[in-house]
Amino acid sequence: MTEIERLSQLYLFRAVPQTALRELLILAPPTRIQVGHEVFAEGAAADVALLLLSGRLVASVGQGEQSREVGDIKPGEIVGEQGLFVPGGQRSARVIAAEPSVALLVTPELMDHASANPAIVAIEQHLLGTLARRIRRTNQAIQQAWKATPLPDQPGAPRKKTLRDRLAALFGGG
Amino acid sequence: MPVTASNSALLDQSRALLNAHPVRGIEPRDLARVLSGAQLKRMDDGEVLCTEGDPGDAMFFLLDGAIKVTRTDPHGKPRELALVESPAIVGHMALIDHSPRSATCAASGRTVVASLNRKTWSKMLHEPTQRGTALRRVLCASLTRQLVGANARIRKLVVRDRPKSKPPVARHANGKTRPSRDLGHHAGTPPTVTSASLESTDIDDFDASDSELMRVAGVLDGWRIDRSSLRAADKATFVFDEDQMRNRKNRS
Repeated sequence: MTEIERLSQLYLFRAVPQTALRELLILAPPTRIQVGHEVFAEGAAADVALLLLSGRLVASVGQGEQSREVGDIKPGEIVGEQGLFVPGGQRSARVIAAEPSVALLVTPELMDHASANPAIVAIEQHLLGTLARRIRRTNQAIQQAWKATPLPDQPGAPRKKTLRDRLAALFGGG
Repeated sequence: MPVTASNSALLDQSRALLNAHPVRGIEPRDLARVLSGAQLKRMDDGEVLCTEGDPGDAMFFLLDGAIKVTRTDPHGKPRELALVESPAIVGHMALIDHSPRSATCAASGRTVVASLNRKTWSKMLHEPTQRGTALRRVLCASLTRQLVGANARIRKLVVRDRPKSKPPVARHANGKTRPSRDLGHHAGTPPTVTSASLESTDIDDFDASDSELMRVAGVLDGWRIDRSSLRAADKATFVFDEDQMRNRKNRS
């Protein structure tokens, strides 16, 4: 499968003409990533994003024995997008290639240079929807935690479930 | 009441907005083109801009004055959530995801807003033009800040009362450790120490912090745009969304 075919099959580019995708590939040639290669380091400056075309990336947080996987990135997904719009950010997780992967490097310079390219417009619209859904979903989770009925607070009964307990159950930590 | 404004005034207002909420790659003149498609509206003290539960038919650029945001909490009690001061962007979530208004907004003192209606907003959002780019990026930056700010607040809430003797592990009812879904900290890894973690609040007092949670929800709904959250940008981690799920289905 060619790179242009790979791009055309991605949902976010469903309405983007192939000419625009070709231009995108010229401006942002696909980068091959070897297994185990660290794409983003936790705490590093966030200034580029990756659009994964094939393979798989894994995100983890923490160091050494305390390192823990928090998600994986599959083809068609964008990772590290916060750095595209807001200056001064840092990576919240380490991202490494779990499989041989191919990705487009999406930089602020690319976004500026090709801002009228329908593929860039599609990326921005896709990210807008992604961010909005994350916010709504997180908000709903918080609201549910807030509304959760506390356990009976009587002698011998389990202690009242606090708001922090509920948040910790939803989001980890505690 | 609709009023007119000169281009230079729009440019000044765009500059003020971007100074307060910087967005990569966007110049004031780009944002001024967005504002030129909006309707300027002068509001008197107490005048309602939008009402909780109503469908969202516009987003607002708060250019002068302030907006008082009130919201009904999950127990049905109305709460004053925030006082949003200019320059700011409010009411955009309802346009992005077609959700009803999550709060009631009313002018606090004499206030000027630029109201961008859904039809114009939608047209601009799909445009491969400078104003289209400006609108998309201003919204993306705003949502990023909301997410980052909310994550930081949730992290504070979860962290600050953690008993030292307990390991930071969240568990299912069956006792198994469950993975963290977001927030950049998780079972087994101590979260970043914040100033809040130094507070000595008793764990069982935590339910008293409903107002704090309300503020978190407010952040998520876009009512508080906090410049300090810029410094924490990119702290939000990985939660996969419907588009990504669709991609996976399409490939399988």
